[in-house]
Amino acid sequence: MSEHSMNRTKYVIAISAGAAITALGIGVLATSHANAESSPSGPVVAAPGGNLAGTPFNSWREAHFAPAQSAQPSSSISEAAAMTDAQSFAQTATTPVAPSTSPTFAKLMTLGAFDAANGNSTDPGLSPDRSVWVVTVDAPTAPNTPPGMPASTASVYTVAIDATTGTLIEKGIGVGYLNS
Amino acid sequence: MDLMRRTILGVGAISALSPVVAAAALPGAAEATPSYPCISPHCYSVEKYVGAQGSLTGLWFQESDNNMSNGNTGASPYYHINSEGWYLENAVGSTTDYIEVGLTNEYEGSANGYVGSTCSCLAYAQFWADTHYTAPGVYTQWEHLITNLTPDGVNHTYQIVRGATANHYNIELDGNVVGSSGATNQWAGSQVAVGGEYYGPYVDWGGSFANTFDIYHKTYNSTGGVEFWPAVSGTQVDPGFNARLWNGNNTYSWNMP
Repeated sequence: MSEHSMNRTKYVIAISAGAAITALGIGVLATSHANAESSPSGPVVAAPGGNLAGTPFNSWREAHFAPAQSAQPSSSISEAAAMTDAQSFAQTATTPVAPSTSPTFAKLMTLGAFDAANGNSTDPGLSPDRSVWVVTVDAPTAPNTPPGMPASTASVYTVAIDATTGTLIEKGIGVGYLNS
Repeated sequence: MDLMRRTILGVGAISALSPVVAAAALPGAAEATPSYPCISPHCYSVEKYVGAQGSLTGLWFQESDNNMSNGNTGASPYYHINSEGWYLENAVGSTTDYIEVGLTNEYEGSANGYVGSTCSCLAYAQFWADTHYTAPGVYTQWEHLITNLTPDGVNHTYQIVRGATANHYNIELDGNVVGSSGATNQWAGSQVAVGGEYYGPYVDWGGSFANTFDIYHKTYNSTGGVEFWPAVSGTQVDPGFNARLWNGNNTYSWNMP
């Protein structure tokens, strides 16, 4: 039985706000997957550190998100919606959606200010001036774990939600940034 | 196909304390270590390398945006399936800091989910994350969306490599910096892994599957040089996954039939 025939031809309908990003020209550095599948010598690849050809990287990444917002607080997402969303992010295979009664605190701020306050760098390609809803939820959630590490649960988390699109940009598990 | 090793295990007892095993192997010939049960709710099909502390300074790999599904089709828990790489400051322990990057497909929440929009559906994305421990059980983990994309089979390169700031790593996609992490607080590591991860009740729940991901990988050694996967490697193939090793070609392949 060939590898391909064993692979079910199921397709995920990967719908997302950024699905169109592929049309914006994510560069292709290497050979096709088919080559990797069929050649016992392995795929031919570009050297590490190679640069993206074509469209400037920041351009396509910025295009995924809405235009950067000014530093002045602004939002098309309501505070209540942001808080409800944030509570839903508690849900994992081992933890439920945070109850609406969970202590939840929200603040509209810029992504850059939020990152700086938490000792993080704003990812290149994202404007630090972007307005985000920062929401802290006191409720259990679970982090990713690497192979071999037991699962765990954190009692608090904080998310940064794009205030214009609702996209969850960052999730800090074990982070209780807001407490009022 | 003779290089393909299939390891289909019965469902074993769940052990939260399963040790990390690095099976000794000949240089360039990773040996399967197919004795792992899933560490519920996480299941893996990965190849890993565990070296001496400080022997590594980064991870580089290439994989395609292939189809995979966590089997989650509606308003059910936040399961995910990933194909990614991990870079750890030392062997897995209760305070091991690590950085990860790769692909995920997971349920997107009610109004606005993990990867944005309002689809309440599965969403496919590139992401990176880092985790820093201050004590056993006391940690912060930051997950970052890189971008959404469609599973179109296009190859991309990912790497975790020393950045310009001391003790910080750059997370790079196709040679472009997409993030910076100081989670490890040092510029030295000892363990890397690449492969698939399923997070949910069990891997064949609700039609979960993954087409074959061929992950071509290298490491950065203690002096920052790029080299192929070190000689001593092991694999973890949990129930429900398949693994195929391209011996000598530095590629780990996995799928979920």
